[in-house]
Amino acid sequence: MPYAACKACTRLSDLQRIAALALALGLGACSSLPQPTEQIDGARAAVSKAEPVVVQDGAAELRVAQYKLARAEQDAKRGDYANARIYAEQAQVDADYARAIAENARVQRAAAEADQSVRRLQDELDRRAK
Amino acid sequence: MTRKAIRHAALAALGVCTLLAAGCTSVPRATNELEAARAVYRSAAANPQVRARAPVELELAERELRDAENLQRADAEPAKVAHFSYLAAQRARIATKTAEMRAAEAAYTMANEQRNRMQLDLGQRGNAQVPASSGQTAR
Repeated sequence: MPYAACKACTRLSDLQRIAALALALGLGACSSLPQPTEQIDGARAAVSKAEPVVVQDGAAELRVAQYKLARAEQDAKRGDYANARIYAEQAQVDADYARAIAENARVQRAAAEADQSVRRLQDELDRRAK
Repeated sequence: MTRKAIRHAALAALGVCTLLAAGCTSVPRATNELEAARAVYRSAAANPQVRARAPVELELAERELRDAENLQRADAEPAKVAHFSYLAAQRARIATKTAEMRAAEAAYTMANEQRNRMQLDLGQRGNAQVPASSGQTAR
């Protein structure tokens, strides 16, 4: 009887050992998530590249990017690297999109002005041809 | 094996089965986000201007969309699928805006050249009254 009890005891400890190992592996997987340094740096660079360009067009998109970058930095500080990475990656594309909107608007205006001055010159040429 | 052990094993197996079944049927999927990203990408890719003027940007969008679709197929976390879908949609929007901007740049250059030719033309007619141009407005 004591032998059987002991056998049960070792079997239980085997189970416990397996459980402990699984838990350790699980925790290891969690803590070994890398810090999203590269993603946060990329988001910061994209936001600071957009900030001087965006005045009116793309302003809402830039605000979203700035908010997400702040969230990424907060999450990284708290050790929530998974969410930090997601926010950083989204902040980067949002900032790039804001900049694309602003630059497009600027070039569209310049093209329209150039077009207008061509039309003015054409009128002048037509007037003189008479 | 005792009857008790058999009963325990059966209960455990039943538990595992119900967990698995629940896991399979209730897996939420980020189908909406993925569908939205596909639609944005499709309209960008169907635009000849985007294909001609922003092929690299379009390719980046396509790559993100492929990642999202592969994750969906592999039954990845819905949040992950939604994230890559979002990246794909934004990249497709960036490609569209970039193509619009490049088309406007080309139009601006052409208008400027035309303006210079016309100003020369006006000058050659021996008239000093060239109308004041608005100058080069693009920074």
